[in-house]
Amino acid sequence: MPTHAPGGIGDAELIARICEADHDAFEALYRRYYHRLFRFSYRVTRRIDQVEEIINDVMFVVWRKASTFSPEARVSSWIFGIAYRKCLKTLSERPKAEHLSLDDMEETIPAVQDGGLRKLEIEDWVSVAFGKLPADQRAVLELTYHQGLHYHEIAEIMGCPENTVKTRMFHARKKIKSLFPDLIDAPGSQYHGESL
Amino acid sequence: MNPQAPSPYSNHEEIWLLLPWYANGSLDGTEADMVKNHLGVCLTCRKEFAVQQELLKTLKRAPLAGISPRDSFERLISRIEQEAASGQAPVGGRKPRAAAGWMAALQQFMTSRRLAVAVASGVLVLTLPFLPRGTPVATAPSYHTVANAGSLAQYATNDVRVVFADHVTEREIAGLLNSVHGHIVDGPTDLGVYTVRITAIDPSENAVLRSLERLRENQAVILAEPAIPQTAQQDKEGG
Repeated sequence: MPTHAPGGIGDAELIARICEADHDAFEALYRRYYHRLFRFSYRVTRRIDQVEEIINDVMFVVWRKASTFSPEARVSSWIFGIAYRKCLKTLSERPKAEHLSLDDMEETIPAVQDGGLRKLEIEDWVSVAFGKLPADQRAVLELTYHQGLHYHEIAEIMGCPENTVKTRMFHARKKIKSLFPDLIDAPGSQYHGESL
Repeated sequence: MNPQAPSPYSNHEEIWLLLPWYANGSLDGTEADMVKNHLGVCLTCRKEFAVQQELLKTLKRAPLAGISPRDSFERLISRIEQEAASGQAPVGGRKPRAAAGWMAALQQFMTSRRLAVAVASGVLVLTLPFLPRGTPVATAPSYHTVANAGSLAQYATNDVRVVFADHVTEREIAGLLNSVHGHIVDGPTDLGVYTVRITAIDPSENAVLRSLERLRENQAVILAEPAIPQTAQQDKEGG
């Protein structure tokens, strides 16, 4: 079946096409956001067994509610806002899963292949720090450092005042420093003036 | 020299809070300049900025190369199709590839809340000639706020504004409104607000309040309030 992959068009245009029940546009948007949502949902919930369900719940809402999306808003803010609420809902409703080995998880979660989870745990030392932070602070860290968003957009996504975002970041930074004091003296942590 | 010019060091605490967003490059020109100027004079923030750069570099790594969206997407599509087949067709709906555009659009319209509004509007138009003189007539604009005092004149004292929960069906809305002797005369607005007219046998203030209470008790209702605030009603009745 030929697919008209609308890879080159913007998010807002994809949403407009989803309003017309365009399946190809929906698939393109899904693929575009999948990894970002995977990472965000995992960071916020720390529940790898729930991540796929969260992503599909989010994109199900996108499919159903595309016609309610306001063109003045940013698509990414809308989608991450839905994802954040789904993450909080998951954390409030589901008790923590029994311990599974990474190999077990890779067998039970078909989306994960070729040792993806092992890479996630081993390469990502910061996951230790994330585990020590509350979900709202994890979300701020992820949206800032990985997604590269402005605090104004993060406030929009999390449905809170901008100052609350700054305060959450403040506490997260303090906690990370207390866990990894060496970070301050790391070889690369020297300011060289014009870096941006 | 301008004695009022603030020192680049005077806003140290504010700058310190902004450093993560300076590091991720999302600050706009004014804020970015403010941080840049401060970094030129503040050793503490320079050290902290270096830490932020280190964190950014670490967190930017995306160790998810082995994860594919293909199977997940297929499962989502199956779910959407199952829901559509069970009669709970999504608002967007998955358009059958061979379906005519106007047919799909009509189908979508028939499953949307707009149908309820259309039916209510139709009933209202048909009954207008039979309404007794003085019966309030729906002349409300499609969008208004309470703060917009001028718009309040468009509403009758037995009008209430209602926001329903997302999951509520048209049938449930119709049943609920029927139970409080109400019908939709306007909406939904961009914010999902319906204007509902309470047409009880005794359209007294108490009847409207009782209807409001019943609406508020129902889990399908997120918000129910008089279209005209009580103070404005008093003004209207008094004047």
